Amino acid sequence: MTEPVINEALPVRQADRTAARVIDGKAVVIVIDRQKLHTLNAVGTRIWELADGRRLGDIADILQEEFEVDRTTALSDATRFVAEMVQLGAVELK
Amino acid sequence: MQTATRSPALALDSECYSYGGVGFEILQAGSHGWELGADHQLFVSRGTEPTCAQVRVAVTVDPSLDLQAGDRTIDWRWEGDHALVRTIGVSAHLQRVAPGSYVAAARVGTRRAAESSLTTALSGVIVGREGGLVLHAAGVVVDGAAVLFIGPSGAGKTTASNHTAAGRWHARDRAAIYPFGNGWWTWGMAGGDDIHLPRAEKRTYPLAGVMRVRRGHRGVTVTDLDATKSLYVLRESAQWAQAGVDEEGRLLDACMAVASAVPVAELHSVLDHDLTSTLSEWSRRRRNFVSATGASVDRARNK
Repeated sequence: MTEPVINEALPVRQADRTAARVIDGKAVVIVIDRQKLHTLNAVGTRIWELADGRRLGDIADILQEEFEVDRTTALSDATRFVAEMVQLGAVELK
Repeated sequence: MQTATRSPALALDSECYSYGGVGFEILQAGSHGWELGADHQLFVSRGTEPTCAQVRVAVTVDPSLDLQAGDRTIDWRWEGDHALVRTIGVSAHLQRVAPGSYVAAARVGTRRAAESSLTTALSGVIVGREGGLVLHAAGVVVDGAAVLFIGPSGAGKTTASNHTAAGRWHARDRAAIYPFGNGWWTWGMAGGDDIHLPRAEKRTYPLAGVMRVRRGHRGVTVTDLDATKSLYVLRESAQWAQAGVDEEGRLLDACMAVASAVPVAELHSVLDHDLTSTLSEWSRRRRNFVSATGASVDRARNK
């Protein structure tokens, strides 16, 4: 599968065929059609929660504020995480 | 003198039994006869065991179901309080009349295995709807309560069971677990490899804990899992939902409810090391386990 081209203007959304629960600040996400489970750390969980159609750049802005990091770091982390989640089928860019 | 010919009346035979946490009443038309496989004759009483639900099933025989291809995968989808349940040789329409109360109309093929398939399918679907779940697990009874070993095939579930010398086997391949009263209970289901222990008494048992089994290298260790890891290992071993997002969400809620109410640990086991004292000590130490997310239990039960 080719790696997705990601820029901060793209909307990020949880894939339709996923289910997740957050417990103690960490999400357990299931990609139903691939029968794969994934556990997310605190930052990944927050990005997952924000993946409701927001632009990636807006997500980075929120991470910058909530985790007290510079925007370059926030955007870099968010981009890397979203790219991985797209590959896993958990997130869509639409 | 000619005698008028009368059609024979339908012979309704009812069979009552409990299996997988569910009480069954079978009503069947015709003289097909109802015969459960040996593995399903685990519990034949009804009304004396804590079950999470009762189901009344009207059964007819449909030879066309003998021609079905496929495996034993159970497929179901809830639409409101109605579900269509299918597995090889079986097609059933299930309706939830009230919490813990169900009726079903089922068609089964002519092969004897269809009756066991119907029982397994309906019990799993109903337990899931009542806030419980079916785990791929082996289990033993120690000190009057059951410990379930979970993990993928080859993880060592049967081996761990065989290494509990003073225990009795309760489940060999699958177990239904469900809330009842103030605790969680487990019901060993059909199937699985032989376990070289005496069999536990044919009844449901309180669930003492769940252990994710891994092969150890330096001796036996038990590590309690946090809530997130507990949810992960329980879902990893739960009977997979073939339907949609709602079903998957319900299954996750059930896993969360279990994780908050029952001790879950990771067990590293080694060959030739008896686990009886390890399990007894762990169960005794965890007896005062406190629910961390009690609200999730209510959510799972009220759906």
